[in-house]
Amino acid sequence: MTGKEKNNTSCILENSVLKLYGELTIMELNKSLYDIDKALGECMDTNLVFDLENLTFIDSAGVTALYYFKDKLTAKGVNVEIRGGAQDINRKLELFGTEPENIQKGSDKTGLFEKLGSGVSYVFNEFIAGFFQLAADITYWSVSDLFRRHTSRKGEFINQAVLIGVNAVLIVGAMTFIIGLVLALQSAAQLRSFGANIYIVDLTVIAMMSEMGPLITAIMVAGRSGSSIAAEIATMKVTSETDALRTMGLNPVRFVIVPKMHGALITLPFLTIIADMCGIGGGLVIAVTSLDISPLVFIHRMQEAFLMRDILFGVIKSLVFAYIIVVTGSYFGFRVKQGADLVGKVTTQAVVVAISLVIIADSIMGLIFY
Amino acid sequence: MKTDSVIKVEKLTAILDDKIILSDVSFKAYSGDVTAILGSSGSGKTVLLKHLLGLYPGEGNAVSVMGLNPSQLDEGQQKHFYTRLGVFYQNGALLNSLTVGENVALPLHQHTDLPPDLIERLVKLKLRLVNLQGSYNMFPSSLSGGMLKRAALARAIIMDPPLLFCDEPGSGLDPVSLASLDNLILNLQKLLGMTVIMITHEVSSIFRVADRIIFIDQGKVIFEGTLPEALKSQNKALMEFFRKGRGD
Repeated sequence: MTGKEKNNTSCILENSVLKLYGELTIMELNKSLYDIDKALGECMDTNLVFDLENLTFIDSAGVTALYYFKDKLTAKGVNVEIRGGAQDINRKLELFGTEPENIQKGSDKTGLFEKLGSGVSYVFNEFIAGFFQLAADITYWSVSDLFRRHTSRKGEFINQAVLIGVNAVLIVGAMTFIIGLVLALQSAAQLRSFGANIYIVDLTVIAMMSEMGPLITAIMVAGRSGSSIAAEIATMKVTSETDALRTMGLNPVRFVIVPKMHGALITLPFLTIIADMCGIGGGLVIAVTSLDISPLVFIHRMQEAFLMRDILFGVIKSLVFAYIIVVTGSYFGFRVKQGADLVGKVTTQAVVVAISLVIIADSIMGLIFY
Repeated sequence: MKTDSVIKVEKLTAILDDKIILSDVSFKAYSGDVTAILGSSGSGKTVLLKHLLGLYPGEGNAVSVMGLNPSQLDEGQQKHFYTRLGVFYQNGALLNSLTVGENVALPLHQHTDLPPDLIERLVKLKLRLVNLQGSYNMFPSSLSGGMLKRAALARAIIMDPPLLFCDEPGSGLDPVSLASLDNLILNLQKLLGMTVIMITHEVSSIFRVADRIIFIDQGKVIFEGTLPEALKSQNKALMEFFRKGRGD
């Protein structure tokens, strides 16, 4: 026999009859479940009756719990009968007692190769094909709109150039200055031990011009502008602004993305050159303060280490990076169908993928150029 | 005459940004009734609802919901208070990152330690009650406006609350969907024995579901009574509200 005082519900098991007393509601369900479970634990019978005669109140959760126990016991081979009590309780048993529909969980019996194949096909159709389709679209409209200036929004190109490029000058400059500083500082000790102090100039100039300048600039811009492009387009999708543009006969790619592409392509090379200068400036500070190289010697040596080819490669790289950042941001923005929560998700994805693609492209171009 | 009031508001004044939104608002809502709080846009209905839900800090004891002042509850009391009421928001307020089933199960996971398979049964029961069988694994973004409202209603009643607040339930619905949602609320109210407080400005809804009317105009309660009394009232603002709402 199991009983309880504190709870509204109490239950007693006598001669294969589980008598329930009081109220069986969701507020006390945890405790009631425990009590019923405990009472039933002592039951060895194959026939059992839930007697609700003394139950004063039951809600939908209480009814569901009773049927839950019934099904559990039936699965163990126990015949369970729910014997109703008051009219209201019987009505609720009738209303809430019907078995809800089963969820089709679906059995996964596909083989390894089938899974692998469908996975590859999914990735290709869902991501790669879509990405290249959008990239082709953006490329086509970016080039064609160069010759059809009257169709573009007035002032939007300047606006985007300021947002993507000009507003990033300070942060990109500061970061590359620090990186140049640290790069030179780390190398100074090694070069000093070989008496090759003067090569700090070559090291800083080559590293900044051909690698660090374009790469750091692209990473900063991907973080700043790539995320903002993805978030802007995703928000436009969620709020049906892109649909509105289409129904007004405007192509969202031309209207929204092309000015960003033009702005990024124009400003990123300049931003990269500024980054190069700032990075070299950082190297100069360390050369003067740590390696006793005068500014004049540094500049003279810089002219020797300085190759036009490095600047040109840096600019080409920055153009490729600008293209990758805008296309990736736009692609993830357009992937959102509905739901504001996805805006944050695609923004993160856009930054991560853009930075990854920039690094991959950088290594490929590194292999091609050198 | 009814005496068992579930909600009692006495001389509630609400000021937001130095602007008086509610002024000396007093009314009662009784157990088992559907009480409609009416008023045009900007009349202070939503601010009143937020006071009833304890979402705005309130001074004194102007508001009593189920015998408690919702703005002056400690954490434990607040948790208990919110398990005893359901709120059905006008835009559904479902979490888009969760499936419909997960959304509806959320209060059960938060407030109970029930086994997962029992929670699933409870959720499916509530989805069946709102005619959303088969939507357990769907995401809110794939539901229509009417389905979204019904899923939100299922979440609001998952704890079998004795008190259900509906904030503009019919907004954005076509007349047919609105009528079926009203009937659904009414059926559930009878089925689960709930007291319903409905904030609305849909006159057709009021005729379908309301037992009592509280009419707010410019932050003041200018009518409180039953629906037949409201229809006989000579109050100009109320008459105008009904006349325009019916499209006369």
